Amino acid sequence: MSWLKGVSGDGYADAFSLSPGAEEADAAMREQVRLGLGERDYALMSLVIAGLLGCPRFMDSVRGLLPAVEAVKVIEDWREAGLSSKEQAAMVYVEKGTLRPHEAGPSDVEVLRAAGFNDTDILSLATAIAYQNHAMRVAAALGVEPL
Amino acid sequence: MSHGEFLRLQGDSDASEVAKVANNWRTAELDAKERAMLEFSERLTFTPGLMSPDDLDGLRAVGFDEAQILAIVAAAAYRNFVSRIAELLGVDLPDEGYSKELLEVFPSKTATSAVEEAIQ
Repeated sequence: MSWLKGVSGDGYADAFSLSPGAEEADAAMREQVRLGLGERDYALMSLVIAGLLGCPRFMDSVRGLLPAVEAVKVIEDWREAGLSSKEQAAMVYVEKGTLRPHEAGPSDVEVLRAAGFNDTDILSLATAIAYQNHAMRVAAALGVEPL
Repeated sequence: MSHGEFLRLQGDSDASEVAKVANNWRTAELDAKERAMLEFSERLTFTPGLMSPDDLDGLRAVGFDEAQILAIVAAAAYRNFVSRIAELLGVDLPDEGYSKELLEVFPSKTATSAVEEAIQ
């Protein structure tokens, strides 16, 4: 159950019931993020961000998108989880974007290009990193699970 | 938050007061509700994994209702979204039109690092 009073239901969208417009905007952004990334990349990113924010309980939100054993490895330490070099390059960007966004610079984008990402991919990655940092904070503050 | 993004929010507020908030909001002249809101926003930004129902009670105690609390959560989380888009893609707003007091706060650090320093 959401920590907000007067909200029925315990889901992420339920928590927005006091502000339907905000829920619509959030859902539209989430849909765009998921369209821009494959399921595996979305799951990897979500797990890494959940771990970095101290919210490992949010790994349930991507249950089924990755093998359970791999999901646990990723959330514990993605560097030791056997990810491909391209996935590891993306997770470096995820980590910086989550913990030290003010340190990001053109060289970070160049690293992604060198790993095989095109500029549309990089925009999708940045948007997804930003969205998950938004959504997990909403969920953490209101006592619900992110979608 | 990138400094251009932050500075765009100053509106009609006194420039030096906004600069204080950007540099270290604890030294700014804010009322109890504003302080509770910023304390909450800081926790949501830096330690979301430690948040609990007590954090919402802290906002209720100073007079915020449930819809206002949701608005604070959504706004603080949204700023975490926008600032990351800006920082990760090198997007910033031009500094033209911003006061000298505000610009002097940021030449060598972002609002994010200023807040990190403030809570150490």
